[in-house]
Amino acid sequence: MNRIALIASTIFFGAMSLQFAYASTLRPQIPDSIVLKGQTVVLKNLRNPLPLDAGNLQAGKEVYFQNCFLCHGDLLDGNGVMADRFFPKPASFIHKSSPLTQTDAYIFWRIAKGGKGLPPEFKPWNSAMPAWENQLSPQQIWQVIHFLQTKVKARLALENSQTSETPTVEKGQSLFNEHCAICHGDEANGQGIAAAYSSPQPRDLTKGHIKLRSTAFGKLPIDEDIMSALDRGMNGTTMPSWKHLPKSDKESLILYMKSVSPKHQKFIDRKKEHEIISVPDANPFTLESRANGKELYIKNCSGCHGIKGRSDGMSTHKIVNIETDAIWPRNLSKSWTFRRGGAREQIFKTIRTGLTSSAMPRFSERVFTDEQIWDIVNYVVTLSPQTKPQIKPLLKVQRISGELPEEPMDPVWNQAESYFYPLGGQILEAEKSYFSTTDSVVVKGLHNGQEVAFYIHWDDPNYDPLLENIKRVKESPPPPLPPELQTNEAEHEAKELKGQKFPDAIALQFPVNLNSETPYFLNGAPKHPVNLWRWTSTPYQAVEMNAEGLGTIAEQSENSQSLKSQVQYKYGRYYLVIKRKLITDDKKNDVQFQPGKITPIAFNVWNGSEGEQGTKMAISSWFDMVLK
Amino acid sequence: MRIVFFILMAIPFFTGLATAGSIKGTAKYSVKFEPAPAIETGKFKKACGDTVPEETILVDKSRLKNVVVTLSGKNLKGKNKNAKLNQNKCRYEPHVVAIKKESNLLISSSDPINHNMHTYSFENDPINVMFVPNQEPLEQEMEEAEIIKVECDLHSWMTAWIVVTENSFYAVTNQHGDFEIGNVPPGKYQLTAWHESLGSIEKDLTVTEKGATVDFDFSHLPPGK
Repeated sequence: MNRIALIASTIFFGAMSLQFAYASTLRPQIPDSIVLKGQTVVLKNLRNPLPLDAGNLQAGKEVYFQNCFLCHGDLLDGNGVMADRFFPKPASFIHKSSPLTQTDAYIFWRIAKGGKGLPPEFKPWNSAMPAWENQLSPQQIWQVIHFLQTKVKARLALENSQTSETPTVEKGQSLFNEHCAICHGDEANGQGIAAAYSSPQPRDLTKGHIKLRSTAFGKLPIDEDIMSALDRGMNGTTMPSWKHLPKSDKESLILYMKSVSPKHQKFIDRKKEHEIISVPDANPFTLESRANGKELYIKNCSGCHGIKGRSDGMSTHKIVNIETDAIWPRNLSKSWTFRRGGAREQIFKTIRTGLTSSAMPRFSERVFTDEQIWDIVNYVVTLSPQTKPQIKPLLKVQRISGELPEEPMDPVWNQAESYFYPLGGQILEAEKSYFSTTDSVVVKGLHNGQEVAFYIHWDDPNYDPLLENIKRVKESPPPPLPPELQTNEAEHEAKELKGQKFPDAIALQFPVNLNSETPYFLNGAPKHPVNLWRWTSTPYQAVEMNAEGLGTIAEQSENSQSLKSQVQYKYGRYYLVIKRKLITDDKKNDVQFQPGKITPIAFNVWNGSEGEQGTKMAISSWFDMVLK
Repeated sequence: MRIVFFILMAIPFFTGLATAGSIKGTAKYSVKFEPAPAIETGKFKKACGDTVPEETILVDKSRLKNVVVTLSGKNLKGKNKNAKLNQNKCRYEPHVVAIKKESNLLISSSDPINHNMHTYSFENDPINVMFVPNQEPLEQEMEEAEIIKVECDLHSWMTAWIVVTENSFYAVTNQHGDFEIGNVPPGKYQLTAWHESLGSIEKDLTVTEKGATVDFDFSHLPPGK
């Protein structure tokens, strides 16, 4: 067994290093010069003109955490919170063939000109690396280069060090200032520079609480809980895993963290003891247990999490306030986004202990027996796929005969294959969307030789009230009351409801011309237009649009409009069908579909109730599609 | 040694008791206003009653209820005393509860439906607990002086306030606006009257062996604080 594992890992790592070597030979050739704001900058022999001093390093650090860390990550490893949303993935600066191994001039060029500045063979139209030339000064670019090079050197040195020191508060404080203060703040109060770009915001450590503990909601964590948070990081947030730090360093950090909150000292002074909540052996998954769990879930959990787990419960509006970091209840249909993890034991622990500083209460033994919690767990795990859906390389639009379905709930859609695509915030150009609420869409396509129809669903806990007027909404019902307490009171007074200030909206994006270079993924580029099919909730319609770059989006003339669309909102999810003829008269502005031809498709989503509009939206990379 | 220590401790204690007075007074609010209508409970009416009262500002003949009066000054501590907070007919009883720090709050529910009591306190451990019918009460130690808002995540109208005080010298005004803090040793103090909507008024006072009388008039303060 061991030998097999060894061989397997040799093959695996062998293949990995081959891939890196291959990648590095594919590095683009650096141009001789570039033009920055009308000035020609000669790249040959260009070196960083700034001294490597504390001031420039600090400035570079701030530039990095204000602009780069959401994708490239706190640890510079290309694993930022948005990293899995864009293709190709953001560069890691700590692996062998990192761009940082190149000359200063090369790095300067890549930052200034971004993805768009790459030669055509590197598919510049799909790189989410912005060109920073208009947003950062050359000085700032050089500062961030100093920061990156210094940080990577320190990181590599750390990996080779075997030091093990006695942990102390002082050591912890210096480690905290080095690694943590940029987010958690110099005072450990969660008000670091990066806090403005993080949602959820970094924890205020002076209050002593952390979200995931082995103790009850609101109680202080034990050291192992803090260690576990450091090792694990926080899934879906800007907090990375610090597993690579030496154990003694992490122990020093724990000592320091406990010293910044007076609660820990008081706890000791008052001779208190932690009450640790353990997870008992799991009850097996049975259909009976699941059925019991469903009943308990609907009574006790659906008020916030919604009937299908998509965080659209009746009480959520009272709880959520993104401004104050009161974020949405977890969408239970996406187990890969659970902070603690989606394993049954992890869900049990979350229900038993609650999530401090969120609205998630704990369900102690006073409320539910272990068996009842396992019942709920056994129901919750069935609300989501076990793992994040794979992104399939090619969206196949199957051909059927006869009429295409117009309604999203038409059973014909059940035959069509579904495709999952991730979305990230538009953080390339202002106004940016650092915390876009839509993280993915699911798409299906069908055509009949004459028309093409797309089915798309995406989760949004709030629907536009306008949809209620036209009877296109099915809300999560409130948790049921016992029969003897039920009444016939109407939930809402019947009245005409107004649409949202900013509509909920989605756009499908295609290149106008399939025979030339693919346009830039972010709404195209001058002379490389995209065709957008944009559905809005207010007014309730889908319109054809064109754009040649972000912020240039414009509706087509009325006689060129030919989209048909229908929406259904059900239990926290929008379902849209949008269709058009394959070939239209407006060849200048409309994409013309040809079966068998690879056609790029991308998505933009606006969650209007969270203030998303214009360039503040969720975006996707291009994906390939073909009509069969 | 130990005996001497006890005697030394006992002297101020007994002298304090022997001469302690009461601080009495009334909280007033003479602004004319339209009382907020009772809240309709809609589909919860069988469990909660048709309506629950709106309790933000409760005034009867210009007398203000639910003002928490606290005393600060030297050598005030007093004994811990537990307090109760119940959920009954979809309101918290009492609407304002004062409790000395390091005492236990006994939280219970008499209702046949779920409630989720939620505080966003920071100095004290935050509370976020689901109460299902017929559940055992929960005992929660209130550790630090803090004014804490209580809400129910399931019934938007349900609010209450827990005022955790530094010492045992506190009182909450009754429906006549009256309060009394007993057994206050003579001395100079600061008295604070706090109301959930109108805010705080502070007064310096000297308590003699006969006690002291202090009224608080909230009429100049705008509601909605």
